[in-house]
Amino acid sequence: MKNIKRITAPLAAIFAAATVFMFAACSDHGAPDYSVADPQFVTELSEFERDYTDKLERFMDGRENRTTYSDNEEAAAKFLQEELSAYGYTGASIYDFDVKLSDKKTVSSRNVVATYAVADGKRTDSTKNVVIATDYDNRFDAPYEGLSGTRSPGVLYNGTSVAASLYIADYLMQSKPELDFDVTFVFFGGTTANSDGYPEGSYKFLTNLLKGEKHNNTVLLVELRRIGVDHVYAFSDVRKTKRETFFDGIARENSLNVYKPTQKSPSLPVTTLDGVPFSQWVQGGHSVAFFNSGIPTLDITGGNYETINMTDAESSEFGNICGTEDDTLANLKRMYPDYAEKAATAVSLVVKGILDADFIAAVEYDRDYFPNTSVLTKSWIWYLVVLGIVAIAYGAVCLARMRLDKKYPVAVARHKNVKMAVFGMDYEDRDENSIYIDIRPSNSVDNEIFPGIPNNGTSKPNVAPPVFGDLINNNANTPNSTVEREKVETNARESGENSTDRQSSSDETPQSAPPDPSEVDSEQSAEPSPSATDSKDPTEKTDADNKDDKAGRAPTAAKPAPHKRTSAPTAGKSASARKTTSAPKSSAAKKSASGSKKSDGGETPKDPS
Amino acid sequence: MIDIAKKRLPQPAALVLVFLSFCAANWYSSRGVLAYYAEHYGWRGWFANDVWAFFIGGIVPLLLYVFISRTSRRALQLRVGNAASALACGIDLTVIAANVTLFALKFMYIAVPLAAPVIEIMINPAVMLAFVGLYLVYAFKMNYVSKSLFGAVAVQIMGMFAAVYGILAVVNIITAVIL
Repeated sequence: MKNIKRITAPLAAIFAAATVFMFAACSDHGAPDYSVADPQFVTELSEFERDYTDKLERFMDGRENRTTYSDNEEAAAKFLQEELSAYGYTGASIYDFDVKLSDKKTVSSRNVVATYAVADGKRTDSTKNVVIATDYDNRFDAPYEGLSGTRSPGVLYNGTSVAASLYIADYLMQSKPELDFDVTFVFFGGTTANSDGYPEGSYKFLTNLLKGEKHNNTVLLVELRRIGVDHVYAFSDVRKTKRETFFDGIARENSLNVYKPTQKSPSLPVTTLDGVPFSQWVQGGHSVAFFNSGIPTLDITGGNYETINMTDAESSEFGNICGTEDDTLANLKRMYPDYAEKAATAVSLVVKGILDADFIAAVEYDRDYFPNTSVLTKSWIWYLVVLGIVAIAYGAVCLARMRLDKKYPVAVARHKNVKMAVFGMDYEDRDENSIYIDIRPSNSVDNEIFPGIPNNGTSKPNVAPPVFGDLINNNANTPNSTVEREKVETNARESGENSTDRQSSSDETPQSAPPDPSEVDSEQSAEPSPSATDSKDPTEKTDADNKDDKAGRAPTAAKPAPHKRTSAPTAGKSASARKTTSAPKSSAAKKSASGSKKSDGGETPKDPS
Repeated sequence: MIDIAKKRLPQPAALVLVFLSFCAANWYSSRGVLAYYAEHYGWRGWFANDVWAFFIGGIVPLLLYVFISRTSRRALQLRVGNAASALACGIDLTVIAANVTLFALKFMYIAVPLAAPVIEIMINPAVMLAFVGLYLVYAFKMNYVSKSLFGAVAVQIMGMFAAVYGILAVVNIITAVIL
């Protein structure tokens, strides 16, 4: 429990801090709210509401069915042309275009275009053009085979925006401002079918009517969509632009409650705008074609992107009605009673913007310096960078491994030869590739090639070489410890009469019996001194056993020991001595055999090196 | 130095923390994906919202991580024996720490929204591999594995993470180029 607290506590603290940052970031920062101030609309709100609602109702009257490619769409287009003409746009025209469907069938649709032109004396070849656009058709019935109808009257989408465009057109014609640029009003048809990924109406207008110099002189497209719901959003570009700053200023100066999309609005992993690696709900469908042709755009969209709802929501309170049978005038007035105020906000932003003295300079700048960020949309480049990062990380670890392997090499078990140091280690040339088994006893006195004859003249004074048999009898009482053994041997040397007594008793045993090889083996492998196990407890381990155990080797009982060459009397005596101690030796052999079994099963032999 | 091998979390708790950390680290991208599919399939706001986006974002990474880490753990056990469990515990904590760091770092997207998708592609592997590298240094100093074997173990662990990000990158490159 304590451990859990120690680890999770700091993690929880980091998580909490990050959550605080998250909510701070997802606040209304970036969404100016001027509702508290007195908004400055183009006209008094009540007057606006009256005029605006009149235009909306006139448009919707008998025109709930405006199905694309149908006669109803044509009828709606004619209505719009007549309305614009009535406002004073004598040049209002209907532009027909054909659309080839996927089944090779050709259908026709139409755009309605009217222009508030610059004064004649001010027109030049470089006279700029601002386009204010919206679409007027719907999918009440099925536009063509394969696409179903929605039975949606299309008040919110897009009757309210059509009414807003008509209001702006009417306002300009009534107020007659002297502008240095053209304002072109376009009502797009053919929106339910796409050409090259764009809605047909806007695509055909762009390619057929905005060609050449006209295209180069078009500095801004303003698209109105779904006006009247919770909030009015104005979206220019994800990149910093002058027109965004300009229209923010217009909204601030006139206390217009215009929202900007924040991080609450999700970034859809779809690239529709050139150079922008994601899409957002606020982007209008028609503005995409203009944006990708290099014309700056301003999307004025109704919606609510301030909640955790990540859909293209119209409201936080109601579900979406656009594209449904509930998209009626009655529902609009019931669900959004302040729809006129929202429309007034959108209309005022556009009108006050285009009438501002700094407007054309701001949009001209953005037109001339349209940023090229197409590299951001080429995701394969960035995934190559990821591959590079992966390769660097893996390569670094491989290099570290090489260094570590050099610095800390793995011990390799080398094959070594086992050799018997017959005459003791003093007479062996030590070799790193060999393991020596020294069968000679450790005591220097006993470590003689020929018992009783000192090696290399290293005889001890006053020490008579003991008879071989005496040595055997003496060692019958020798303990396993080397120190204790030395003490006993020292005592044995000092008391010479003990060896004489033992010598006389051993004379009774037969002398002709040949040495038993197995007895010799067990005797010589189970003890450092030849007679160490004579009267020892067979269950006790000898030094040799201990040595073998420590070295991780199987006890040397299994390995044959070389025969000792001794003189006849001593050989006989040693044979008789061996015979008398055969029982303990065999049990010692059994013990060492069982010990070898134990070591095979119980512990992993270690590398002798 | 704190020995994190001695401060082991219970396995279910570790799994939950790893899942939550993946949720937090992938929240930003899962929002956009969920919104896109909501539009495409007509899902309403009851499902297409931030809460679901948070938890959905951690499911696939968790499944991938559990599968690969458990498979690699067996290979590690063959190589280093009991030290594999200490290493595995440390890797879980490393992944959690890396994901929490990613979650905090991704607030930078507020300042640079245009570059967010590009940063999103690179930041996950960069931060995760950096944390794994730091953990390997820590494990070396704490002597979780004998120094003679550590090089091979480090290559195996880093290779596991590098392989996943490498394969994902290759698949995305192929997809981006073809589509």
